[in-house]
Amino acid sequence: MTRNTHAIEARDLTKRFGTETAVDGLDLHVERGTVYGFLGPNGAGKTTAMRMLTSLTRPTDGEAWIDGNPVSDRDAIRASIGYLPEEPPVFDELTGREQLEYFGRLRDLPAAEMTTRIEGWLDRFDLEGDADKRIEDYSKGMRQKVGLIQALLHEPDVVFLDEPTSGLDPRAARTVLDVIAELTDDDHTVFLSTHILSVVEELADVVGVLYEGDLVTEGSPAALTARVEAEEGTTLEDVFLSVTAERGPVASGSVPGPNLGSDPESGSGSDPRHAGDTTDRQDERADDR
Amino acid sequence: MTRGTRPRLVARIELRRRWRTIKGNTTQLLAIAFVAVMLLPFSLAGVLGAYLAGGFVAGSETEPLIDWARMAFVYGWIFVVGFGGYRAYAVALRPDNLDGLLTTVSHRDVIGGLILTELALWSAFFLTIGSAAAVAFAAGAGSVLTIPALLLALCLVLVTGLPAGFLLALGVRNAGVRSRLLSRLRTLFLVFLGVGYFALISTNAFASVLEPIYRVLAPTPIDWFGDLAAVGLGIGASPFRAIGAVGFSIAFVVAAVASLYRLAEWLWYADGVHVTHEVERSADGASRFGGLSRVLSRPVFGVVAVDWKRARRSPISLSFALYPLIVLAGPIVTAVQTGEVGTGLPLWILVCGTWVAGSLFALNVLGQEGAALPVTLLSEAPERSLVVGHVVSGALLIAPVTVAATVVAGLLSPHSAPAVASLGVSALVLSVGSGAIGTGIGVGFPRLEAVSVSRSTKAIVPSVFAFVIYSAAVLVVALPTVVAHSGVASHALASIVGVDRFVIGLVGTVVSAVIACFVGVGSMYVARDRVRGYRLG
Repeated sequence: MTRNTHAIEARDLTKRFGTETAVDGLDLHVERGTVYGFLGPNGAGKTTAMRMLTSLTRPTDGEAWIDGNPVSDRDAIRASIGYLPEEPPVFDELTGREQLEYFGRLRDLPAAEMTTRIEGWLDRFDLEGDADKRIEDYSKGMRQKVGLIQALLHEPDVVFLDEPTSGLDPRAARTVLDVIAELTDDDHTVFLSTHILSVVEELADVVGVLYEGDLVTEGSPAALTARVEAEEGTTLEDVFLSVTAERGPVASGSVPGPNLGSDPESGSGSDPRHAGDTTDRQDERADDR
Repeated sequence: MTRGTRPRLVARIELRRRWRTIKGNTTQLLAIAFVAVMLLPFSLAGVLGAYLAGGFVAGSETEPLIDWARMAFVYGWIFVVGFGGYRAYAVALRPDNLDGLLTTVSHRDVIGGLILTELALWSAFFLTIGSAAAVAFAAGAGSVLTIPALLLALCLVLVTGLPAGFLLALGVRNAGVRSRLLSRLRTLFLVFLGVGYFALISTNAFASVLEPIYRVLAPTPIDWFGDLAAVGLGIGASPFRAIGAVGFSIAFVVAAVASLYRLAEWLWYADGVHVTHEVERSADGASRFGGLSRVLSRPVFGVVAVDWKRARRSPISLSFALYPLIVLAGPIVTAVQTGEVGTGLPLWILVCGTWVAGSLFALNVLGQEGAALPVTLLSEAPERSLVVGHVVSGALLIAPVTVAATVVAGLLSPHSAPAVASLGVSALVLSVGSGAIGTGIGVGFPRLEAVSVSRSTKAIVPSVFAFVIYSAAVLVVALPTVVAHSGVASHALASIVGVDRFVIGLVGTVVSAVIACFVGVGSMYVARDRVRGYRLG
């Protein structure tokens, strides 16, 4: 059964490993042609959530759809996604060009079109001079670039990127950010997991913060920062530190605690323009418990 | 893209990657060339043997010949299943970048590609030799029909045997990722399996394991491959069983493929058991090791404690200790089989215990520090604590066991009590001294980076070169003891010199001890100087 509402949709998506809950009832609605910034501290469950959305891991409970297809339908999911894991899935023994041609053929791209696309991407990422060297001789950044091209080569509708700028020099990182921005111009959807908050701040239309398996807050970067503008100069970093702090102590002195937004004096009420853009998921989760 | 194109593409790239890996590894390339050169005469002899066998069986309608053909193919099938399964478990079923592949193509394409890869590798060898042998055999037998029949039988053995091996490997891997117990004991289990395997080979007891498997398979259609191969030879092969072999193979492959798809899906999409490595903290770290902290200086004690902890939590890094154990397995199995402990067993235990003691921690003093090496080198006078600590940790662990095992085996053997005492002293001195001997060799040929000790595990282990030199050194040092305590040599020496055999044994012990002390102390000085002067590259 397909659904035609969102590029990515998840309803009560849960993953438990034994008694440990990695992702707890994740609800997502990602519009087509947007960048969704997926934030969270180490061990929050981001990778597990991405693995469920890319069909690599079965959810324990709940369901998710990519481009209207349930993630349980792996054949359909594969066709519509591109995935760059944290460690680029490249083979050291192949050259960069061979790697891309291999995955292009596996994706069933017509030969001429595949060659044109590969040449274009190699040129874009300054890799043409090294394309015929083995990947084992590549730097971390070059491997990352090849991994990213591989994820984009078949022009997928939805792209999952796990730390795509990791290991890249500033110029290459800028190229990646530009590419991500262009993808959304072409109505592709990008699900972006990263620790670099400035990247999310620049690119993301919507930001979700995962903490201990719970989506504790979600909204546009502007809406999230607006909610905690009790003092001047609040950034997404402050929001992140605030909502991922343990209940009680506040990580940043300038922002209120995890219950921000529920307080009409400070949270969403402070900027009426974004009042409807954001949801404080932590409260919901606490009620659920 | 047709259904079979993607598995073929996966297989082609896998083969290319493996070839490039081998080509880039001179040691591996030389090893393969060496094996190929060694196998060439055997292969030629096999082809000649096939020709002679063909001449022998031609026209003979005696019953045993067809039985032998059937038996040969059943054992051949067991071989393919066994080694194919082992390769699948160890190599094929953990492909690199599995996530990248599974988000691009289906698990069916991946497992299909991996089986095709193995099939191509096996075929390259078996069908080349097999074709030559089939032609020679047919020429000898004077039966042209035998060539296609024999080749077809060989192909069917491969085509059914390899998937069967994959099925077994997938079964084991699936059990491993789902069972917490199996997951925890995997290393131990593999060690036992490896030692048992070599013990079976060294004691020629392999047949006793294979025979029950043969008895199970003999009444099954696997037995029919022999009839297919022997069609046209006139030795009583059943044409119905020959046709049945083909039909069975088709049915088997269809069923196997369906099962392989399912098992591969279960394996690669499994959550897997998660074994956490939480360690209960003691109030005082030193209390765990009793009074050791009072005997050793604090830095040396620190090295010993860390060595033991790391060994317990990551025993795979001690993989070099397996070689002495494998060598020792043969004499032990022989003693168990015969029910007698000869004069040789205590010597084997002494030598192998000594060999193990030095190879555990002392053979890579610098490399064993891993990422902590820069910090270690910046600490105050690290050379003494590192060198002495690694020697002590191996000696304290292995020397008591070696001495006890040598003495017990000696008392059970025909050795006299004084000779056993002499052996005990040798065991003590050598197993303590072997670590000291290893330190200098280890710093001369350090290995600083982690290497793959299995398909999925990397660890910093001593370099092969260091281990080989160390092994030779241990043998040289232990030689006087071994010669002086071995039955024939000690008897001959005692007769020539005109003294009691115990005196010869004692002299051997003293000579070994003196050499071990000199070489050990010299080696430790070299190690100390190298560590002190070591600069990071």
